[in-house]
Amino acid sequence: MKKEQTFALKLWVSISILVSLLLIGSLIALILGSDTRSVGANTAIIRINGPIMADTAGGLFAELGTSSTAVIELLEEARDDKTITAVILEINSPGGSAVASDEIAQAVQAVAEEKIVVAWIRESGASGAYWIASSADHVVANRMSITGSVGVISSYLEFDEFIDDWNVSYNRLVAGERKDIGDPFTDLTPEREAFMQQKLDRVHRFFIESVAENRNLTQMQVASISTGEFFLGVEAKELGLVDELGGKEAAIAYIEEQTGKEAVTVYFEPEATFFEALFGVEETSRMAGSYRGPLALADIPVPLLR
Amino acid sequence: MKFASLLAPRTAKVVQDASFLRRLGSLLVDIAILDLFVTAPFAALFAPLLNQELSAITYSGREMAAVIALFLIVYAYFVLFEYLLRQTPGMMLLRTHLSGKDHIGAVMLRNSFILPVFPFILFWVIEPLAILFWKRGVLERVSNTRTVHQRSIIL
Repeated sequence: MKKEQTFALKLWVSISILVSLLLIGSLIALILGSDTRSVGANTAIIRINGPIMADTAGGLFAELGTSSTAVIELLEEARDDKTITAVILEINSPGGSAVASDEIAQAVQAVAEEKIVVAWIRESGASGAYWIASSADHVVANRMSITGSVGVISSYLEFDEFIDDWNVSYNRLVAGERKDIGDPFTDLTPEREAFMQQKLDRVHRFFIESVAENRNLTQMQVASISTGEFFLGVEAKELGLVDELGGKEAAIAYIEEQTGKEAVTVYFEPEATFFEALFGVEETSRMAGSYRGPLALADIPVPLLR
Repeated sequence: MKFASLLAPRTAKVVQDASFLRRLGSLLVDIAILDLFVTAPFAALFAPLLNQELSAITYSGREMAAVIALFLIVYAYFVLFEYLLRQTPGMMLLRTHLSGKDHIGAVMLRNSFILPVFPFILFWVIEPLAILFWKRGVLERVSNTRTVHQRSIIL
């Protein structure tokens, strides 16, 4: 009994000490910051992963994605950092919100005026993600990367007949005839559909104009390949949407060629939360601008570049 | 019952200075535990330095503060365990324990070789050599403590 008590006491004391030291260490690491800026680094890598959205309220089971606000903050930080001479956008995204993509694209262009920006497309850099990539000085993609998909989508499920079948009434109370356009519980009449289509076409034109300007192509050339279809990296290179086939090394080599100096990279990421610091989450496992937000198109269809 | 106990071999507990290998083993176990639980929060902070060549590494003020904090936490680990339990988890596993003065000052002194400052940094070389040849480190002699191993022998 005495032996068991001694063992139990030892165990509890040991656990208490370990947990206390872990908490103290986490607190200190958090205070000192998870700032992974490395002394001597001159090339910032900013990740753009998952669906691209502007800020929305988070939720525990919501989808991981990229917040345009967070990415823009990182881009501005890289632009203002005198030690950083180049930025690599590590893109692995199927696209997302038109507004969020445009916001990031404009921020990329602002950085590109002062520093070298290279877009490195990995598995996918399509639609809105391609819009962002096209804003860079140089685009590198794997030969099998999914890219292109210059198009806009705003599809949604319509439930008006479904609720009729179940004797459910939809009480339409609006002030403004088009207030509930896109509501899944109302019928999408031809007139309403034409209205929505006009908006989508407008967004599509913005997309085409931006890509044409960024890639030094004519709008006709871009329009001809803007059916929304995606291209493999090798195809995108033939069409002028991508500059080079390769990976991170190719991106770094381009920067070194432009600057004449060795490129020392560092990941620019948002500050770690306490729990991330507690578990010593490696920087490579955190996504730039990641947030947990509700799935898109929860209520009103939002034009998506996806 | 009495007759059976007469036939049982007589044993005695012997306490002797722990061997170098046993102490090395317990230290390795402690390092593994430290790596898993205590130094993990600092991993992200030091990750960028690992990309650089050793000779090219220069620490910013923030990183230097983190290095010092890390060493202090490691120091606290050994001091707390040896003061409260007379054993670190590694020592528990290798069945060694602290003997001698149980004053906190003595425990802090015997573990002061961990501190990454001069002159304690010299003990990174002196202590292992002393333990290897004399089974007792210099700081242990100064602090009047020993690391011992208790075992049973058959008489």
